Amino acid sequence: MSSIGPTPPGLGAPGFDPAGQVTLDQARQHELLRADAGAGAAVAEAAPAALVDPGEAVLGLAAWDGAEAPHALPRDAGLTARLAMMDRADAANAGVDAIVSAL
Amino acid sequence: MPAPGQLREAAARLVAALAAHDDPEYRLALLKRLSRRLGEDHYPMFLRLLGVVAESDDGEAKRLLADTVATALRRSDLPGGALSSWGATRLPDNVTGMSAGALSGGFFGTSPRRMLGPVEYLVVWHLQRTQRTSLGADAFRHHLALLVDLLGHSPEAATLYPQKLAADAQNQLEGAYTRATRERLAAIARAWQAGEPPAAVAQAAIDAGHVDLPAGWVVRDL
Repeated sequence: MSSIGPTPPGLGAPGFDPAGQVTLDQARQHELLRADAGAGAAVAEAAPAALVDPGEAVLGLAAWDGAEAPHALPRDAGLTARLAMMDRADAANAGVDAIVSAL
Repeated sequence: MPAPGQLREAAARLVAALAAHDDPEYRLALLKRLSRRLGEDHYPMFLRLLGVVAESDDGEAKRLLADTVATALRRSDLPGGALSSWGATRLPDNVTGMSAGALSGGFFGTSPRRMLGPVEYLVVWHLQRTQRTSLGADAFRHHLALLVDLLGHSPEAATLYPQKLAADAQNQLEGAYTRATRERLAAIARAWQAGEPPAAVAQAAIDAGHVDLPAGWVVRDL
């Protein structure tokens, strides 16, 4: 009788995925493969593709519509004035809320 | 993923919120709370917001943000992100009678993580095995240059940060950095302290890894 049984649930391959990383299939679905990973589909299938971390994709997000345009940040004097009316602890919390809500 | 306008708006709100009070402690608290709110997995978004300010033409915004980082450096309290550490592997607390099921993803996926400041985070992300896929060289160089440029708007930050990196490069005890990482940190510190432009500082970090070795040598990256 074989002593080899089914893989314990805790030892399944997905269980070894470090947090923050994705499988190759997930990367394909989310377009996280590097652009220089391979020119043709046959090459991409034959060789391991280079993965791009989702965080690197975030770092690469464009913030400006054109390279030649002036890179001016919009002024938000209203937010500054509102936070200035609060005590500092409340202002820090409200400020973070405002920043995150823009995203 | 946020659109360009959303990123600019978020960066502008960050600057507006920092400007609401003159107190450096308030500004540091705001920056740290933002980092914490975004969370460990989204620390790159925190870095991206710093980068948007760095890419802008707004010198006053850059100075405000860089001065806040200087405050953090004085307090040894940088708003940091967490990356898993090469030298730290945590065993389960109770190892008697451990079953195979205990070796779940949690065992391997929750190795201790170290909090790293923005520059150190980029270096470790690029060079070391962490919970993230390694940061590509081009992205590393570009975003490191952005950070150095941003921090250059505060003379204090531009003095203190390379000092910190030089000190980190000397520290072999905690196991946070590999030898290669320490070499890059030292190279960044040297170039930064020498007043090199941001792109040259970032390039120094890349060049520090190109050491000629005799053919056939295998070097363990520890």
